[in-house]
Amino acid sequence: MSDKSVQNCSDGQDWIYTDEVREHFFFPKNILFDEANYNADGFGVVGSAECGDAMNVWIKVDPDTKRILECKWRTFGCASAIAAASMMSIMATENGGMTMEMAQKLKPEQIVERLGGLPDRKFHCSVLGHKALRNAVLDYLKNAK
Amino acid sequence: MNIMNEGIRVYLDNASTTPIDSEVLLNMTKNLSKNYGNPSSLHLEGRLSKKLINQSRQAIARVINADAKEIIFTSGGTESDNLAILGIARANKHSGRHIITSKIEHKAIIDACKVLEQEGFSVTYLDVDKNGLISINALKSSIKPDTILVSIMYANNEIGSIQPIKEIAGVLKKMDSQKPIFHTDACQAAVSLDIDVTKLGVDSMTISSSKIYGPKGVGCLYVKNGIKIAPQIVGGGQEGGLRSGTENSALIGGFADALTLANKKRVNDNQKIVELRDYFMNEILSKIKNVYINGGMEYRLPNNLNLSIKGVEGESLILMMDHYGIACSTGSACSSSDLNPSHVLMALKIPIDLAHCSVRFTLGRYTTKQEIDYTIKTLVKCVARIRSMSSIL
Amino acid sequence: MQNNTEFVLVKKESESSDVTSLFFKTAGGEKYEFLAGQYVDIVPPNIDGHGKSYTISSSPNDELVRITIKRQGAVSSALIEMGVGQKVSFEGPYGVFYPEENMKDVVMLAGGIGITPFVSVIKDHHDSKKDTKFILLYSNKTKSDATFAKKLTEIENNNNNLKTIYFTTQDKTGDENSRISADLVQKHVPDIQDKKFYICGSISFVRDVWKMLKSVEVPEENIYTESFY
Repeated sequence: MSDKSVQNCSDGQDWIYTDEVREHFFFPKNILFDEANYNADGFGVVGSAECGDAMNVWIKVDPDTKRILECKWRTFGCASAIAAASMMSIMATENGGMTMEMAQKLKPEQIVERLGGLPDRKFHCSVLGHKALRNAVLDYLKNAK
Repeated sequence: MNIMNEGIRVYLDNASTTPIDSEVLLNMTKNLSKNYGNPSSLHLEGRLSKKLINQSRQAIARVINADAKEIIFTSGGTESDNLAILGIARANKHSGRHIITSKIEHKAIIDACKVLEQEGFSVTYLDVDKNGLISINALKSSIKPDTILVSIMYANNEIGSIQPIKEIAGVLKKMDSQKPIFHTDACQAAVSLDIDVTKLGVDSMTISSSKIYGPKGVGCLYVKNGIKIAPQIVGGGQEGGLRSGTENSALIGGFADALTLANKKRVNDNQKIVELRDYFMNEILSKIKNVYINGGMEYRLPNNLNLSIKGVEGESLILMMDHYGIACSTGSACSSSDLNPSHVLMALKIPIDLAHCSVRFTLGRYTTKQEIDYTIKTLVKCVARIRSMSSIL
Repeated sequence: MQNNTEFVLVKKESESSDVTSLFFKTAGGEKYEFLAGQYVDIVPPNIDGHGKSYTISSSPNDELVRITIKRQGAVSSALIEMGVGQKVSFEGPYGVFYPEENMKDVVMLAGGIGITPFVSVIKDHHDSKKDTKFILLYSNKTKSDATFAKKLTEIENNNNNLKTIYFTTQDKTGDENSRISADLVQKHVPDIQDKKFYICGSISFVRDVWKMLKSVEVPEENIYTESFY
């Protein structure tokens, strides 16, 4: 499937979400394609197939700076959930990467703001992103002892 | 293929609504422009408008084999359903307060029943099996001496299951005690099934113009002569006092034309559509793994295909399909405003994780094989893409 | 940081028709170390798979560890139905939802059961005689739904550092008879630009209050949130 060259065939109509959500839904960042061969330092899960939303997050932490080097994910969920996971993974790794404290303090609302806003009924998708990252960090801290 | 805004569009959501037939539109536009009189007025403009309504009423009566006087025009399927349930129950409550319906009815029926429950009526919501069909025995056992109304939809909008309406009518007819009034919501059925009310044995029937290549905003309720029904919208006394409001004669004319046309084209349309649908289904099943059909195939509308694709959440799939020009819908929780998966899929008792993965394609009169081939190709790609990032599977 | 600790249920107290407090002590008898406002992950007996996160509503110096639960689904019901003497594991404590040492003026906005971290923090500060000032805006359907109202009033009467305003959305028993709004926040909280805001409750409560605070230009870095789901 070619990427940027595929124009939205139904252009001219308003997308029902923001441009940022559309961008992260169609071109999501940091998906983990090869689970089996990834050596994560921390792994977090939130949600379930029964809930209709499930996120798995894997992080690699720099052993010296203790900042998040890599943040990968896989998500079962709607466009907002996929976009929230993608945006969360960017926020976790940009500017040299978050420390464990910063990652735990990441608020769902910050993800929503970076996405340019989410419809009210989709806010829980940002909560999932925050919680999945937090669980990955807690897992890392547990293993690091 | 429809070219809109320089992009491909393939419309496979005909169960939600249908495009308007071009001939119907032409006639209707003429009428909207020239035939604007208020049908209740005594002057020529009014009389011409009234004539159009009468002709429309007769045309619809012909199609469903009823008397013209037995047709009440409304603003559509929802209003007709509300009128049927609330109007019949309230007008007959001296005879009893029990109603029987099914768990997979349209929300217009279910919510109207819930309103009646607040008014002291009791309602039995019949289960359906995995094919989406009610059990005649369960219906029989739920009939009580004070049952006044049975409402079972002829065909379901989400999974296309076709209920045994004639058999139900037969059961009710054989009753020694008070026979409940039998209503059916035929909004989905009208375009592809025979809706002759004497053959079906129903006392009341809902039809919606928006599902039969007619204009939106109009429908009707058939009510057999002699059945008591209380009007829900009062005022000017139109429609024999049963539904007040100045009638939109051009819209009604469009509805009648569309129904007449649908009846004429039914057999040929069905043949073409079912072939395409079955081809579509078989191709998907052969090209994509872990796909499940929701509902049974034997008693199913010819245009309906409802699938669950494991690991692929419904809303994400339909948004991606829309991006590539294909319109379809889903029963997943994420796509609904109340964040609950479709009540129809839940009634089928399909595993809830698969309910979130449901997608519905409903073909139509204008669907071509070329469009289906494009859809298959696109679906395969979208499923692969979404599965590549899914945490399930 | 601790991890999996086994607890024994010592007693249960009904707070209201759908809210119950469960009191635990560690199976080994040792004191459980946590910070006020933190939560634990619990998988109740007879539940498969994932459990849920629950905030500890007691404060760190209390004798028993208290979890206050609103009955909402399978997991919460299973917990509420636990019998005295039954054992369960808590994973944690986790979370960073507590005011930092240097914060002097904190506004807490609680929606229903979202009171749990706040009651823990408030009591902890009261017991340790810290001087942080708290304004608590507590929203419920009615005043009788306000869990811990009695304890909060007791603290308020003995401590100038706590002010509580009850919001009731379904009747007139509160100090304010509506949802928390921008006008009402500005009415009860002077100098909102300088305060730290902590919001806790359901996803929709937190979302609506956050949007409301942003609409009166409270800086993002002054807002802390915890959504229950």
